[in-house]
Amino acid sequence: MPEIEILEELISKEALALIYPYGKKNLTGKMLASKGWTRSGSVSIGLTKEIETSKKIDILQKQIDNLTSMLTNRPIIKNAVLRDLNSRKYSLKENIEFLIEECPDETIAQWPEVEIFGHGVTQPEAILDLKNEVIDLYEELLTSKQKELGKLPKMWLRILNQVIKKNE
Amino acid sequence: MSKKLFDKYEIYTALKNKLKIKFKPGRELKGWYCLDGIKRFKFRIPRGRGEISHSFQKQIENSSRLNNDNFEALINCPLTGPKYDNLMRGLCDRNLL
Repeated sequence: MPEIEILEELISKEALALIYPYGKKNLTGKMLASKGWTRSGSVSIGLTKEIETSKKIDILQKQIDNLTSMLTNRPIIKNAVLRDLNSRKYSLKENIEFLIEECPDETIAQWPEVEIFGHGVTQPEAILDLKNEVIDLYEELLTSKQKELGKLPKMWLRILNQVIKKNE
Repeated sequence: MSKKLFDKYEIYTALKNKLKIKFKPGRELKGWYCLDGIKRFKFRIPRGRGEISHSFQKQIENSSRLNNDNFEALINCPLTGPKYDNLMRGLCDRNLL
């Protein structure tokens, strides 16, 4: 059967598996006709194209899945303002602008200028944690010896002094 | 999002042993990175073991002043303490630290 031999050369193993699910001896004219194919070169071309398209669809589907996963896990970032420190000892002279980063598993409230952040499962938890962090850092910097502090911690202290007021 | 997430304890041991950070005990571990006897910046890491959350690891990466690859190298060993100190000295020279 020279046609079959030509076919074998032209089409890939996957394509052959599609045509010969039960072995090539069982390939009948009826089977090919049922798919609208003839025993000619057009069979191989049609099949190869079909397989290429199917592979492309698979790749695209994987890319869509990756993008969907990236978008779902991507944090939602928004601005917010602190007006109070939840403390009797300290209050704010001015509002503090900070960022809220909502991830699927955790929320982060961060004040990037002084490199502190609060975290929690929910937004209120993260904000409360940030308030505690502000006070912790302020107290730590106030009690540190100035000569022990580097350029950045000194700057943080200046910023915190501008916004925090100790209550009498 | 595909970056590697480390174990909390792995991060703790790497920072403690390589960067000689003395963490204060508490609900979370906090400690200063000191270079030439001066406090440069602060680390805050979660206690315990188990995989750290993506957002928390990102915050630690930011604190460390390292990109994702170098942070991985710091935790996984190729980046040693003295090499890290040299990187930070470079930042000091550029007036960034």
